[in-house]
Amino acid sequence: MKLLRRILLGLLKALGATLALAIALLAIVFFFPGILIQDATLPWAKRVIRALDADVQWRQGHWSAQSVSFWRKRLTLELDAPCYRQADPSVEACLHRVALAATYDLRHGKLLVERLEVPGGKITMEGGGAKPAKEEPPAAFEPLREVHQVRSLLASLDWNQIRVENVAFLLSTADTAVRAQANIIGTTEGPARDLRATAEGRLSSGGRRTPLLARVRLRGKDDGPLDYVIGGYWGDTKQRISADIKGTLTDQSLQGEINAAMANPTNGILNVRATTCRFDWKQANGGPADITLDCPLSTQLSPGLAGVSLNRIFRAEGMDKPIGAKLSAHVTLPDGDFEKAEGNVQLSAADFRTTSLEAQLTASLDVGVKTEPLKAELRLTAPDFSALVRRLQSSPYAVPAPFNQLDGRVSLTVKGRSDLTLQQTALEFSVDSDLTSDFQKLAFSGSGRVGIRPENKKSRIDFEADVAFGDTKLSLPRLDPTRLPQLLPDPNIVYPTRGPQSNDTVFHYRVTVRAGAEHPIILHSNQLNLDVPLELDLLVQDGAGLSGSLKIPKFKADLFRRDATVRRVVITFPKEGAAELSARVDIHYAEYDLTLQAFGALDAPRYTITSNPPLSENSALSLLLFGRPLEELSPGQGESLGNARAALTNGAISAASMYLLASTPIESIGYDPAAGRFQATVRLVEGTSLRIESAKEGVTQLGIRKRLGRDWVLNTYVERTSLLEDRRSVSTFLEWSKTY
Amino acid sequence: MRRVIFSLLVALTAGPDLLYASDNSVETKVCDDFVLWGPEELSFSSSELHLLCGDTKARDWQKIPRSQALFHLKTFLQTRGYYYPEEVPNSGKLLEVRLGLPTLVTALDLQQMPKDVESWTATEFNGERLTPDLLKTISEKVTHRLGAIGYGCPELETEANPKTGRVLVALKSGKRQNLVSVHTEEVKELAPGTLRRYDAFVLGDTFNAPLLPLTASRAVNDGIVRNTYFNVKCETGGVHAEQKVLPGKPRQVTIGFGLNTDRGLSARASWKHSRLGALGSQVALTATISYKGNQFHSQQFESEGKWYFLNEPSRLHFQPRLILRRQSDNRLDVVGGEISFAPASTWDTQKVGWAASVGPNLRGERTLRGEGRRQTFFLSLVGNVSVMSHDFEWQRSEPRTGYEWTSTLALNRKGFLADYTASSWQTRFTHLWALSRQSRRQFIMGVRAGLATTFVRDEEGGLSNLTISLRHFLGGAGNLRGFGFQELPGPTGALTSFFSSAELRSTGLLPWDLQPYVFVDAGTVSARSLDVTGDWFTSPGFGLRWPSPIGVFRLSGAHGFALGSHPTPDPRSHWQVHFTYGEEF
Repeated sequence: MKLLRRILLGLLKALGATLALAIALLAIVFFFPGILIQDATLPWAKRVIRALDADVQWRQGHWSAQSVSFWRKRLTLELDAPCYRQADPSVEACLHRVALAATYDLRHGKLLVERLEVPGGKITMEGGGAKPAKEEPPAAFEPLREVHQVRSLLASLDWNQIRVENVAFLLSTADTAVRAQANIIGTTEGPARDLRATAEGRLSSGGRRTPLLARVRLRGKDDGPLDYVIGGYWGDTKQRISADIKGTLTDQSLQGEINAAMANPTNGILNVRATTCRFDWKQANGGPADITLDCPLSTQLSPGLAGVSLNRIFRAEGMDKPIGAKLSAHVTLPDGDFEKAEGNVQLSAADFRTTSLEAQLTASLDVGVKTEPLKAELRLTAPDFSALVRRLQSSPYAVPAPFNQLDGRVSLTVKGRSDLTLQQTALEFSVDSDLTSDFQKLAFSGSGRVGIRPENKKSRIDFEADVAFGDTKLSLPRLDPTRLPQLLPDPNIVYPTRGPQSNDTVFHYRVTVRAGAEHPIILHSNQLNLDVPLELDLLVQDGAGLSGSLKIPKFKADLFRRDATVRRVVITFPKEGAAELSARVDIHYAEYDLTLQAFGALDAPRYTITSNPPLSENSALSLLLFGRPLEELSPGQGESLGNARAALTNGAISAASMYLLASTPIESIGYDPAAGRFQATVRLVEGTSLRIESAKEGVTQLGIRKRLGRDWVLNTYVERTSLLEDRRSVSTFLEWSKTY
Repeated sequence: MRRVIFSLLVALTAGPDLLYASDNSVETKVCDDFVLWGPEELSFSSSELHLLCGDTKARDWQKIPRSQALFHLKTFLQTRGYYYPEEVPNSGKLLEVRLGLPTLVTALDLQQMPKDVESWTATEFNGERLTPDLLKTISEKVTHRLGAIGYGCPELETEANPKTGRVLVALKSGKRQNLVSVHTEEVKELAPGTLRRYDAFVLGDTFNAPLLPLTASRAVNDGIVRNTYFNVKCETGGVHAEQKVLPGKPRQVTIGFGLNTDRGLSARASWKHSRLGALGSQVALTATISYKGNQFHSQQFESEGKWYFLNEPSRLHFQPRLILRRQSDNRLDVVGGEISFAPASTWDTQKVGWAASVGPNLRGERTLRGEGRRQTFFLSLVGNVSVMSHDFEWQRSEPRTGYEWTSTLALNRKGFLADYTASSWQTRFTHLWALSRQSRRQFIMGVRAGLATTFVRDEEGGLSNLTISLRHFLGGAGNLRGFGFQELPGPTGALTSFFSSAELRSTGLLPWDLQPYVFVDAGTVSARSLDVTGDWFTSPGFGLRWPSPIGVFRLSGAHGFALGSHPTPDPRSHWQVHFTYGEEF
């Protein structure tokens, strides 16, 4: 027992002596750290680092330590060609030299870097690609907390001189690489410290290389507000972004001013600038954040891809000049959670005026509102339509004749609401015009709406518009009725589309066009110097086509070489089936009143002719077409009359052909019922005639007859002159004939 | 020189499409600051120019913006077959457009059609410029084709791809039906049903659209009505036709003067009554005087009629005819006349029309100068039969398909009001086939043959006893084209003549609708009746047909050869050129 006690006592003494020795050694090292930290122990330090599985190498080095005071210890370190390597992620940092002189205050836990010099080196970091990140709930957005962590770090660090120069670093992932040259300069002037860091290089991503410049400068005292300046530049010849943010960070606020510019952010916008854009983020400890933004903006539009002609218009209209706007916001953000944010963001553009256009745009975002929080209103006015016409004259969007002669005002207002993704949008628009020229008028008003919403994994667009014409008179071109040109492309000729058609969007439309009896559209025929009133009540709807009616009310005209009264022309477009015509024209003769009525399909109408006092249909048609009774017709005219009647009842005379017959003296009319082809020869001027159509098939008469006048015919006969021989003779006779 | 001729031939045979340059080197100046460059110079109508260049005379249409002019231009170019014009970029005011090349039809795709239309080779339009008008023509032709096989009211849908030149025609509705009724508009002077004698169709049989206008044209050409036409309506039971009639006045007086290829200068006066009685009998009187210098002059009075003698409308009728004439030429001076009275009728099936007549014909002639008998009376029993397919009749002015056969037999015997016995038989057959069609190019094959013979008694003097009208000749555009008109066998003529011809004609091969053809004719004449063992002649040759707006011209060159053991070279062999107007193969 005693022995045991002695042994324990001996051990205790030895332990005490060892402890005392260790304390003594620690005290010695504490007071004389140079004993442990000196060049002789540097290789030993390398072994220790390696034993800790860290790969740090250097060629040669010096280190030493001194005790400046009881609590402050000073370390100097100089390493030649130090290198640090790490396997995953791959990191290699090799510097030319590191020279550090620093004093650590053990009592306040504060490091004073008296001197840090890194004259050059290279740091390479390579990532093998993004690893699938675990789904984590989004962290609260509390930028002040992040900023304060930086501020805490800065509070524990002091420096006299930091000079890190020309350190090249390469940061690369699978598809992106950043190469830059970094410099960090830290100085101290009196109580204020100044740290400037710059990195300049280029970013390679997606086969595109863009220059990159980043600057950070922090200035401030230990316990005072910290001034910061952050600047950056990224971009190439296509797109550029530069931004400078400067401000002050205190315990409870982050204030700042942004000056930023974006060049070519998207097609159609040349640049966007924010100048002296002020923001203020206030947040008491743990309380809600109160964010305000007051940001003057300016932007310049560009004609985008529209071509050279539109570029000229842009410049001429002054549309390339900056457009002012203001972005202001006031948002409350409780707990740093944006889901709970409340407030409003508003963008209002200054009135935009060019020579021929005026525009006002306002947009606002109701923060905290779940459905359609985005609202916008655009007012677009062309106060001088003729100026707009002149501007667009040589562009692909030129105003066509005869509208290009009009002058006056056209305005468009669009109001809309949308969700943040713009997938669910509702727009309402209204348009109205008051245009006039010396001879024309065009007054109409229209309103409608556009709805965009997702439906069955597609985007559905619903377009509705109602257009009502007011006082309107338009000129028609001077077209020769005998040779009407094709005005629209033939719908039967279908151009092949390039590539597969995207059917991600389903488009539905419904447009009504009205010109009522009180305000019919007056169409002026330059050919006939005639005003034709037109009433419209049309509906164009997807899937149903055109429906409604087009009416020409009573008007007087010179038809069939007589004073005629067009009682009515109604073209009805039923919801199903072909367009139908119903028309009635009264023609007055000395002894008769004729009524020509057309009805049936528009492209093949049927006609009836009635008279007062009653005449046979043949006599009435004779009077109508040739201006003389049936009894006075020549044989050729009689033949023409029969053909005309055949074509009329067979629906072979279109409304246009009937107009031609009505407006031009008729020489002869032919009709080939087998081919359904109508042919007419009309007299253009005295001695000149024109054949409208010709039938090549089915001429059964051996010989040819050419009518030279009312009773004269040039006749060619082929005759067999002998029964027994196939002998033929041909005669050409100029004949006069009379029937009775 | 040889190269120039070869190039010209290549250009001509390749058709008009290759006659223009294949690049965009030809300038069309539309207006002062609007120019087109293309493979050919285009012309625009005044209305088109108003929309392209503006119209100083029309209010508010003086200035046409460039974009609008381009829109109109693209539409107008569609009508000319150009679908991919390109604006030449330049910064000036000048608007320049390259037309590119016109789109040609490469294929016609017929869908949902009955088999007989689907089997149509459909290459007819290949190589044609694709234009809206051509689409209309294609649609009409398909409609016409459907109409000919029973589709009274077909509805078609047409679509064309301007990139590939492919045209699609689909039958949307319509079905094959029979023609079940014909309702004719009443004509005051005529008994109901009178116009049915012109029917080329058979009621109750499959509807055939071309037969309706053929029927109408028969009635109009016969003069019974001034004009008539049919409307058709399709109902579930079949196709119903309604015949509309413009009767016109029944009597017509005509006075004219002109030229005849045989008789020279001619003057003619005629009177015709085309609706005598309720059944539409007819009578026509014609007096003609011709003068061809000292070489030929003639006077003729002719009266002919159709007497429908039954109580009901019928095709059976009498054909009375009276002719009085005097003809003088450098060989003969003959005064004569003839009178005939023949019952006649016609029949029609869906494909063919028949006509036949048989009756006495009394002819009297007095020869004042020339060979033959001084005075002749000649009573014959003359029978005529003719068969003509409807397509041949329908396309008579532009023969392409079908056949015609005519045969005339005249019997007489001395003693029966005839001074001598001279029966005759003449028959002639023509058949045309349209061979495969490629684009506008089509070959038409034709064969024809004719036999004419007169039976005489040698004891009555044989050939030398006959009047000139009973002697037979060959040569001329109507049979052996390598010989002159009636050159064979010589002035005396023959008792038998036989010929056959084959001709291959092409349409669409040359510009301006010129139609080249090659042919070979062969024939024989004999001094004996119904004998083809006499001298044979042949005449291969070539020619050109031009269907001009005033009638058909034919120019042929052929070499006539006399076959057999004649001295070489035979004096009768020679080159012969024929230029005819109005004659067909």
